[in-house]
Amino acid sequence: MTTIRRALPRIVGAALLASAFACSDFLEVDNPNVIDASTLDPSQDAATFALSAQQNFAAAYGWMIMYSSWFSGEALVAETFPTRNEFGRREVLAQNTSLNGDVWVNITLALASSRTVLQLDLPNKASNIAVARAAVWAGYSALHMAMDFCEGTIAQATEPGPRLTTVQLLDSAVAYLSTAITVGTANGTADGILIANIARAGRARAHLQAGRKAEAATDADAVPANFTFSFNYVDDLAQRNRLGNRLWQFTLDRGSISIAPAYRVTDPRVKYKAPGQHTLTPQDASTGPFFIQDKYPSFTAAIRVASKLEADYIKAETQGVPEQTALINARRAANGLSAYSGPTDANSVLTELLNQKALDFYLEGRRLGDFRRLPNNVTNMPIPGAPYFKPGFSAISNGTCYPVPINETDNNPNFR
Amino acid sequence: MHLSVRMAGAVRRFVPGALPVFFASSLFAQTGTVSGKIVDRASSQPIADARVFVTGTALEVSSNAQGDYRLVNVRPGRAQIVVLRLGYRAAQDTVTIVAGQTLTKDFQLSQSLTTLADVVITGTAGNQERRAQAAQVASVPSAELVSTIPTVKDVNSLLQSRIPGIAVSASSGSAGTNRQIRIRGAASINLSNEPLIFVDGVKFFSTTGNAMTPGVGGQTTDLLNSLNPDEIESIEVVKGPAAATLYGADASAGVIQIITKKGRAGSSSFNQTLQVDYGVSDQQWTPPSNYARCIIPNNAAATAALVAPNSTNPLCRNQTVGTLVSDNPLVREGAFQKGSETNFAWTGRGGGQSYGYFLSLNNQRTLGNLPNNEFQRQAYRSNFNFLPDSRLTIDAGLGLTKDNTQLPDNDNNVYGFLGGGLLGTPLSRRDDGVLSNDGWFGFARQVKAITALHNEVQNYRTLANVTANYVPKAWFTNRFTVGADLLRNEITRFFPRNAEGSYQGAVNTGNNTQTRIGVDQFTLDYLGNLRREFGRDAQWETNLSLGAQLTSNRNDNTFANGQGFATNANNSVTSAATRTGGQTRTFQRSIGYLGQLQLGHLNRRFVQLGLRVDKNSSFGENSEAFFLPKIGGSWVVSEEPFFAGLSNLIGSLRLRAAWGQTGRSPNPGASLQTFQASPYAITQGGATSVGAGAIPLNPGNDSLKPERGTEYEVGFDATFWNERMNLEVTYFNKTSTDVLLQRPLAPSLGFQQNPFVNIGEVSNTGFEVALISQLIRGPKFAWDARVGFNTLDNKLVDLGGVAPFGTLNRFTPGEQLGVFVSKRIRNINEATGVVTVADTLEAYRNYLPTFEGNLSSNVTLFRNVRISAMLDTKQDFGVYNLTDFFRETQVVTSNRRLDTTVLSRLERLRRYGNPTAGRPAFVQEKNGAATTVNEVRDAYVQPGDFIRLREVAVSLNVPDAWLRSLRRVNGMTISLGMQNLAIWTDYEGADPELLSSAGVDFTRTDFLTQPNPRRAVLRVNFNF
Repeated sequence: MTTIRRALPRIVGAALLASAFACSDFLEVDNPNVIDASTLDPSQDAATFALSAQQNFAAAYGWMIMYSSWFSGEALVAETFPTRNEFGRREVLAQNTSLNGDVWVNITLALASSRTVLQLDLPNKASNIAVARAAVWAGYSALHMAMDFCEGTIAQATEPGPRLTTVQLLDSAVAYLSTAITVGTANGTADGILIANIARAGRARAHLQAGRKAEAATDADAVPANFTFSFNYVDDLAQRNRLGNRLWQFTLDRGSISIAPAYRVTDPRVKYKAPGQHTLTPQDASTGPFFIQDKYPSFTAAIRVASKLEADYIKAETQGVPEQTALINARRAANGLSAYSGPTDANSVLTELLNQKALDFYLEGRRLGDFRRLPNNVTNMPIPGAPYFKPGFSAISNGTCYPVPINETDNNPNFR
Repeated sequence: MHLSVRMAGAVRRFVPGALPVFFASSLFAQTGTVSGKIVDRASSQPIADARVFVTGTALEVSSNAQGDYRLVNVRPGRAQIVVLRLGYRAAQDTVTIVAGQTLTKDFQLSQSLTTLADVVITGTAGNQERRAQAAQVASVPSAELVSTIPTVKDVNSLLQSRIPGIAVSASSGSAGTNRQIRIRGAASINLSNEPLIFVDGVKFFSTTGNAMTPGVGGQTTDLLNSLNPDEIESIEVVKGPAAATLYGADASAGVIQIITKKGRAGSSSFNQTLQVDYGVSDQQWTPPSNYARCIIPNNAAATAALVAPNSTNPLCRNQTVGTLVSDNPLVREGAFQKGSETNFAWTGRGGGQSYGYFLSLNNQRTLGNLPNNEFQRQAYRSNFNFLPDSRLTIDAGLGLTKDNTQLPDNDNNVYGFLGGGLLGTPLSRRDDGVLSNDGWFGFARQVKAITALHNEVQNYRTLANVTANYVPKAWFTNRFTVGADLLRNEITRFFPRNAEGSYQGAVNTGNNTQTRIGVDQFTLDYLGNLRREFGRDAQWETNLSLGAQLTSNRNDNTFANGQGFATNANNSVTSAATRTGGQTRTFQRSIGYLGQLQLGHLNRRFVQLGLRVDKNSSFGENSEAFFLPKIGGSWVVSEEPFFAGLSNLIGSLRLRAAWGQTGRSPNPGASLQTFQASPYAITQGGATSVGAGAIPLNPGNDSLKPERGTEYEVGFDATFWNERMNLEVTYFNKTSTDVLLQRPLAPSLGFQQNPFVNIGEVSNTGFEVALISQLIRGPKFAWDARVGFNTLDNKLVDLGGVAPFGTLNRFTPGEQLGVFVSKRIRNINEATGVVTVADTLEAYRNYLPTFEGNLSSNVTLFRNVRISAMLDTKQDFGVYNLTDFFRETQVVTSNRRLDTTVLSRLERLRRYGNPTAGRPAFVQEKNGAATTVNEVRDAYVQPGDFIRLREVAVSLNVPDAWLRSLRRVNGMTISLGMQNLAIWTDYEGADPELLSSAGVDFTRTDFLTQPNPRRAVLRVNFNF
């Protein structure tokens, strides 16, 4: 014990000394949970960043489609979230946390992460596939922001960007998509050509949305026949939020999406299951009979992004009654319907064209853009003033687009 | 009980015999011994657990149950013997020790409420008498509370309503769920406001509200439940920076020091206690019924079927269309049950001439009021203290705990009992045997299906510490502490495979998530103290303390999930059709150096200066070391000569003032610019594969440093009325600067996390008052009462230019942190139904109570019967009644909404807005825009003010005469305690004292939360 007593002061002294000298090493720790930015090489990792940006858009795309399906009357909100029922009632407030967290954050992440790649000092920028890939998804992100939001913003380097009108957003989309076409074409690989064609279809839609019909028609013509590009999703239990099909997730796991009565029709393009054909139940029992969507019946179900078919609709919209009628009847015939027999005035035909488009692109996120462009020709929108389908809620309002969330406007000094 | 007695006997025979073999007495030659008895001056009853020490040495022993003590190895010569015991005036005497001889020295202690001579070990460098303390350190007499109030079964109960300034809030009434502890309000916005906890000087991992907290099913468990209250001697609480400076850059939310029981070195005794508890609990709450009208909107055929004679719905069958019907699934299926609790505890305490030991065993089991809610703890502790000679003492402690909590799903959780029962609709009832919702919310999920969920958190904890006190000279003391807190959690969340579709989607194929959390936390601490007396008659004294403290924390969280099982028995993750897993790991280390100089004059005037310097691995690269100063003074005015004239009126009076700083460190990795690993899917050649991607996560901040809390407190301690009344009054003013705020970035920048920045300022000010009075002090009847209360003025002073944020609990300069906001109602026009509201979110109710108080009283009859009761209250705060909000405005199952006769038109307009079709529910005052009930929450952020009859306890010390037939039983106490007996409140929900997310700051929301139950516990305690 005497030995211990003698040793103690020495131990204490040694410990103090060691702690003093070893301080810097002692405080160096690993943090394996995140990627330290200093360990990345922007140039070498550009391809990874671009593919990540592509997935960011793929994830955002599912959110955009789901929320716009509620807002535009394709589907009923079958769950209890107050913020989601605001979409169903066309009364989305800037404070809506789902608007921010599910829609805005995801589409702006897709846009910002794509822009990050475009700002890198990369070799062979004029034909670099990472540049083409980033540009096409920056363009689509801006395009969908323009279609669904009343206004928007695009970050400038490390600073948040200014308030942009719908037209300005569409112009930005056109610029990005033009870059994608140029660089993708110059790249010349199969990926490069694919990206250029996706961009052509997107630019056609952007021009149409901006009212530039001639440019829209030109781009629509440039989309190759039978062209279709879809996002393929993956069923990874741990990554369903990022890699899985969002609409199936909210059908299966949350019971959130019920087909609106107007779309409970016999048409192969609107696939659904009626009660009795499935065992799922809506989260909110006041939804009533639960008609689940069957267009995306699994986590791996692909969602179409760009196609010649959409280009055909775009082209037809820029043309007259004969061309529109031809497409209408072609689509009706292809889906087992008799030829169009309704009024043949320009407005009625245009309405039917958009009806057919709504069926062809059911749950593909096009309707809200179409409604904003042609509010009088898009049918089956929730009617302002009509009672909401659930008891206890205010009547349906008259919103036509989403506000930019308060999270953006409060924290973006350039937006105020 | 039989086994426990046998075990105790074995220990009693082994320990006293074995220890001297290790600690040979030959070391102690040439020394003397002092022994004696300590008794109450008035009653001559022996006083147990009095601390007896020799000043200027490491020698300290405690008295046994018979009041006997024995100090050995006392160096020959004059020695000052000091005796301390809570509730008694300190006693001391100087004796002359002769080598090889035993001196007898008895002490008689007088009862007193004066605390000046009490010694605290927390918040200062080395042990310190209260008289010298500049800042207040509160003490909880844990051992006394545990022994007299049977409902005290955990650390949180020991802290609840005992000390002004400490607020404890429950997350739910489920057994084993966590509590939130706040000391002097809240200062951090984005970091935890939980105090630091130490057990015998070793840092204890208790953080709630972060990713490492084991929690399942919408609830979290409490890591403090690992501690067996029977092991605890006392708890000391350092309330703020003025006193916590020496705890460094992570102590701004306060420090709690838990001191476990020690052996009775020098007592030459062995005492055992055996405690047996049995208790019951009752939910004492009838959940509200669900209502609906027998009609299916826009569907005449379905409505007709609903009310038809052959309807499958028993409630609407044969009813008129639109009839209001009700159902109460929770009551109908008997979801709530009577809970029970059992507790077996054994302690053994004793010691020989130069050693002491404390041993404890505990097995506690509590069954909650919902199925599959259970808490069980097995705890073992052994503490040894060894006094080889007068210069060295060694204390070693080892605590081993296994606790297991099984939780029901509840709160914001679609699988919860309350969610299922309170959000269901009577329209889904059916009695034709076909599986359905049957009145429950969401899917075919009734009591059986909810009970089948298996949520279990199992903790294995090892707490070890060794402390050596070495006193080479009377003026030079050294304390060296090393300790470890090793925690292993095993968490299970299992959804059984079922054919009924009880859960959601693929989960019905069976889903098992296994999580393993490992925490390794180490503390290394050294403190040296040099004391010098100087001046005429040694009237001046200096104490210089220097020390260092290293802490290291490693958290490892690994999980595996499997989905799709062939059978429920074969449910290991490996057996699942689909499997996935993940892992996170964090490290945090800190090193701090501290120094303190205390100058004392005439043992009644004291000044302290202190400084601590900290570095932490989570500081930014460019951040400097963190310097934390303190200064304070204490003046025992009543011992000044000029005070003599007042001594009849005021027995003692001490004035104190302190100023100090502490910090709150950022989380590990918070300073780094980071990306997040995020995979991408790519299709090439017709095949889709997954690659490793990266997306921006956090822009980082290389100048990140801790929050800095600066506090001053002033106050006084006084005794009156022949030391039968003690009053402590403190005013504190705490300002937190460099507040660590996750500055909200515009989402359009694309970062997934907001970076931590040091901006902003938060202030907390208030008064704390504690009054203890021995109203009647007689041999046959004694009555004492305690009153404690505190005020709190919490304010966000500055947000550093960041726009106010938060849509329910908001952060706005000039308002309380997390103040509840609403677009407040300006006007209700009953005639037109138009409800006008503010254009913007405005502060509505406080998140933190601004007044908390408690009143407790003890009556002792014939020395053997003790009756105690406690009332407590919290005032001036709000609770978001999200349960009612959902039931009235979202799923609409409340009769308040559906039965128009329940509420007045005015109240209906206030709650639901304008019912006129085509008109907005609420109209903004200035811009005329429509808004919804989602932002007009006046009716649902309700006043939470309450007064609660928290505890009532009765205990009887069985007279010795009655025990003669029980061989070897020295004492027996029978106690009955009751908790949560009554509450008085205007809150409309089940319980205003709940936080459905107690692990998260600034969310005082009652959402489908199980209320606190009423408990009654009967205890029999034997002393051997």
